[in-house]
Amino acid sequence: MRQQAPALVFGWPDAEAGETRGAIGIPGLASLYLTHDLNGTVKGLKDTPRSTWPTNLPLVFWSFRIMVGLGLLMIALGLASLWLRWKGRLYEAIWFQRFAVAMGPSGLIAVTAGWTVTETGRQPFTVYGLLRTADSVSPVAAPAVAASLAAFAVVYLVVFGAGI
Amino acid sequence: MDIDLTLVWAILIATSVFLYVVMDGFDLGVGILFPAIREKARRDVMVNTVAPVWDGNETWLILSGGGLLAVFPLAYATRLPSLYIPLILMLLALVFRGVTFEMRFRIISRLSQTAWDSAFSAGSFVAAFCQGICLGPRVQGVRVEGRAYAGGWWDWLSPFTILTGLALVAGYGLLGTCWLIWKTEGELQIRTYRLARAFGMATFAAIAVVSLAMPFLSLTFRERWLTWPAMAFVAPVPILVGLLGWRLRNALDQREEVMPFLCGLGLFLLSYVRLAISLFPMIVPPSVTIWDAATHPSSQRFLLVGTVVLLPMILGYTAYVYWLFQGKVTAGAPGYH
Repeated sequence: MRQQAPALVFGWPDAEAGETRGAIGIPGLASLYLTHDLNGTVKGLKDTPRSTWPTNLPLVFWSFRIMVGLGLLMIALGLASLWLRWKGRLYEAIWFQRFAVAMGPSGLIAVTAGWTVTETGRQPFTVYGLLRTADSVSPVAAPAVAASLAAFAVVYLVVFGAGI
Repeated sequence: MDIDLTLVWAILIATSVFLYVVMDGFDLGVGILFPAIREKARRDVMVNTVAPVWDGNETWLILSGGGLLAVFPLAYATRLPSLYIPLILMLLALVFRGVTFEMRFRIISRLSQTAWDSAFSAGSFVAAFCQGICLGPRVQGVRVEGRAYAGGWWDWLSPFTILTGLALVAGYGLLGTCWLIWKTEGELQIRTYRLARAFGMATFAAIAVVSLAMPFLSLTFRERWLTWPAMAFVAPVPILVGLLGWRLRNALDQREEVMPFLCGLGLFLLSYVRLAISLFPMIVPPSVTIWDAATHPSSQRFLLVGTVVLLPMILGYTAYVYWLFQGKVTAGAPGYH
């Protein structure tokens, strides 16, 4: 539990030590965006029982930062384009065009990272605090699920391949 | 007056399933007929008769599945795992078939023409067959322990489910031919009159065999068919089916255009209502009733509000599309694509 909690930009969460190594953060920002108050109290992972901790902390930590970071870059791209348009240099600024090309795949990456945050971050729960993933598994046998997943992958590849 | 919300929902979902069966039934049926009609121009006409409506028809499958999940979660959680393989196969078949509508009109080589035509007809056949398989466990029962499916992943496979699978292929084929009789003209229509006779005979044979097998496979069916008041409806069914068959044969002989399709719908309605009455109030035979499987009353009320808004919209646009694309589909005329 922490007041004026910082928003960490970099770092490596170490579950065993119970700390984020090499953390670089913006002081008070996490309190501001989570509680809308610079002095707000933010609950940390250490305020929940250890048995409910996700086992893949760096994955959750980093996919969240990739998602947010790309989002900020997208906003920066938009603002830069407005600025250049206002200055009448939108079609001349080479650096901006390189930036725009480089941002091409950002949407797909950000969506995938965001999906990873929700799906791995909610573990070990399916419904937070109520239903554990292990208890919500369907009675369908594993080979059937694996076969159907493989079949869907093949069918999508065929259909998608034919459509190109 | 107290309204039994659960009963209202059971009737809504049963209606939705029925609408799916007859509507996607005839357009799957058109695909099932592909091996019998091989000329490209005729196949184009066949596909054009269903192209504007087929995806709207599949709305009812989504509504049935979504409704079952939301209102009868226990039924969803036990019935779907028991039918995992046929349902997945059905979905994959529908993927191929659905894509074909877009692909057929953009292909240039003979090879891809053959490939997509095969995808259309095989997809239709497999989807229909798998849906028929799903009927089997409605009669034979599903193994449920506690609140979970307790059977294996091959439980759905039995001689009876193969029979119901083939029966539905025959029935959809009949609906498909009757639809084409209504929507086409000339040589293609004459061919479909002949096909309708063959699929009609196959459908009646299938209804007879499935009906004879039912009381031997299920105690519930045997009891229902021999006790009042269910007997009052079930007993006249064979006579009504016979009358419909006679009317269908007449309609085909007299070259009537709309009546064969109506007879086909009547056959499906009779078979469906008989199945519903034989099962009621079981939603997962032999042990789970609609009231056991239903979600909390407040959820049922909440969902009903949304449905009361959505259902008229779906019915409205469906009616509009059928009205807009009424009349005969002719070869070479600018179609839907």
